[in-house]
Amino acid sequence: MKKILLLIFLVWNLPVHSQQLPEMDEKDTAALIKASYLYNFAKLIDWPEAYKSGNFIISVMGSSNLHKELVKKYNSKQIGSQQIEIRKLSPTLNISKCHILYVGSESINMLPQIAETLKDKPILIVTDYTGSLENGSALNFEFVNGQWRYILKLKNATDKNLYIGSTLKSLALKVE
Amino acid sequence: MKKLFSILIICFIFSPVILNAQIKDKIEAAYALYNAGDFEAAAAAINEVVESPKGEKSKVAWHIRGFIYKDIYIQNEHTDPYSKARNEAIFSHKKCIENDPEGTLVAQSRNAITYLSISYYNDAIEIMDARNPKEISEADKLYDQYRDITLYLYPDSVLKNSDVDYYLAMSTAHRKIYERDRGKNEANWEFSNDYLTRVLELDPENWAALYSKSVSYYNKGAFNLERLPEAQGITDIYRIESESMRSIEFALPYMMKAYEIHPDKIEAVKGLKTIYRNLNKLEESDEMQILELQLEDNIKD
Repeated sequence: MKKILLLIFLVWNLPVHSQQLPEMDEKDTAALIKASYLYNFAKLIDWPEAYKSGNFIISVMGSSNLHKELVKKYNSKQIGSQQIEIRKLSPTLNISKCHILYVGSESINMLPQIAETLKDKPILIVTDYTGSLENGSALNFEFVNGQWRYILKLKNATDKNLYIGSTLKSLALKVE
Repeated sequence: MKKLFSILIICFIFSPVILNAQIKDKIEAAYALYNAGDFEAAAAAINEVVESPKGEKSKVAWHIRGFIYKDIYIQNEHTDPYSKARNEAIFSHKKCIENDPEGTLVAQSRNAITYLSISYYNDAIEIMDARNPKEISEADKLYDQYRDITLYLYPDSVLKNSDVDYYLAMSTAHRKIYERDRGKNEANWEFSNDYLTRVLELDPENWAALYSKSVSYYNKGAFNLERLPEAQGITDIYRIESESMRSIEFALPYMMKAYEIHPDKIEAVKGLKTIYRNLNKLEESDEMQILELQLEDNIKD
């Protein structure tokens, strides 16, 4: 009994350990990944000459996390000689000049009207909602086998005089 | 000291082993030096005794030697985790116990060993808390010393709880080092994870280890995505994303188990919400968000 008491004393009197539970990095990983895709789409698509001067504008409608991520990581980068500029748009049909327009799922109901408004402008519409390609989007993100991929609807880009490079086509999950 | 002295006198008088007079004189001389505070001279004198064939069998000589080296350790080497005096003190007390079948000096020697074993433990924790990447692995050696001595003193003792606490603390220490510079200290993430594995081998339902392991995998995957701005094209995005998502997928079963064990712990509910969301399992994530709100309401009530 004495032995047991001494052992209990010994173990109980050892200094308190510095064990701390880790905190989760509250990141929107989908936003991180999509932001990187958008930047690479910009590098792999050729815009008409009129769009090759001034800033390279990426507008984001909805999806504030994606907007934040683009601002944080890509705002200072360039596409060729063009400085990237990130703009946040509230749901609207009054869309000023940009190169890429990302329409988040919150505004997806407006997509057909947005596409109609922009049909003659070389603006690449990117979405992440099933069925968006039928409503004017050229690139749509899909989550397949645990990863974000994109499906390309070539016509929705070429009709707007956007030239899609072969790399972007060959790496797409599907080209329609 | 007085107590030690009286015990030694009794041992000298009643010891069944008749000590050679010369040995006895030398032990007394060493003891006098020790008593006078000249520990180094006392150590030299007692070493001469234990190195002789007859002195080597003397429990009293080893006992005194143990206290001499214990005091050298306390006086000169207590800040040195690799103190030789401490090792010598423990070795001497063990030799004393080995040569003391009657058990006259055993209790005192065991107490001295206990004291010294705790100092090993304290040193291990100190090294762990310093979180120096170059030295932290030394903590294991010191903890193992503490462990071995505890098992020597109490062979039937179960050190599972102590081991679990230690491994969790080591995991935390390595994680903190990793978090200081995730690029440079990636090996520490592996070490941190290994310690959690060791905890789960001992206690598969350890909530802290399950939760920590899940967060560790999730955070690693999420952090890996920070490399995306440097991605060299779409193929590189695929590669980085694939590594990250695999890590986040690894996080899920650990968090699920943590939740099963303690469904009322909000950390696990929040963890599942975040992991599900990042695996694009939005319905499951929303369910967890509802649970999270319910738990928060319960806390307020």
